[in-house]
Amino acid sequence: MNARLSISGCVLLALLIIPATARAQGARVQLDQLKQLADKAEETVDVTVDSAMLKQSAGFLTGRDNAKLQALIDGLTGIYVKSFKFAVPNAYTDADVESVRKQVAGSPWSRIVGVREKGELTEIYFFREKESTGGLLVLTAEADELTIVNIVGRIDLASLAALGPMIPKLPGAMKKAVPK
Amino acid sequence: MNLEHELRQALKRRTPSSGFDERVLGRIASGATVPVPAPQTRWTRLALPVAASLAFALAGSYYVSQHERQQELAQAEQAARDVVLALQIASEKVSAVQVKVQEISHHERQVEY
Repeated sequence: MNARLSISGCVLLALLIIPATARAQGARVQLDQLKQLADKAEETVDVTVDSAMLKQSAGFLTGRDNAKLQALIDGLTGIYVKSFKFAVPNAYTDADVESVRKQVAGSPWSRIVGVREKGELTEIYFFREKESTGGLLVLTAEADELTIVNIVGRIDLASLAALGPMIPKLPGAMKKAVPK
Repeated sequence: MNLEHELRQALKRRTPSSGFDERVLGRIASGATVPVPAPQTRWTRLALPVAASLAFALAGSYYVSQHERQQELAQAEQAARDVVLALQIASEKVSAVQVKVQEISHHERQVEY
């Protein structure tokens, strides 16, 4: 009887935990298939920041100047960036872009911005979790540059856009770009 | 050559001062003793190596903990850099999209008028 109760408890707990985990993973978009583009790119930025790394970084982003940055980070569980700058145009294919777009096609993702002009594509997708935003995907595909930013967690687009000039200039912050 | 001469001088047989043998025999006869240093106990023999080992272990563990702490700090600093870089790129791209959207809406408004 006790064993049966324990098993039922475990099953109930699993039912409660698994959807939450699935939701948290849901806003994560698979970008590993783009790694091969690094061979063709002149400059590559590949950033993978998970929740543990976000917590680790907290100590370095304290202070009044970083309050807004810290407030933005508090709701996040992951940041993933892949950015490639090519020496020649059309070094990547439509299939590369589609491999990302197909993952965010349909619910719970919704496209809030889509601009296509002069062969350039810019899109922003939101991952809706109940009433709040559980993630974001920014995709910009230009002739000689492809950038995908995937943010997992609560994110406010206005705060993110306004953050640019306030971002602290940590030494070497922009030296992550690895020239080929 | 010089060394050989010095050695010869140093090891040359010398006659003892007068009355040397009487003095030695007299001391033996009187039963005079020379204090012999006390033999080292087991504890005193072990103390030095034990203390050295302890000091070495303490210094080692301190070095390891400091090294680990430095590594953690370096990792945290790298994570902070990655976070800033990622948000910088995201912010730039979102701002660029906002500008594009504003331009398009402005253009559409002009066309309407």
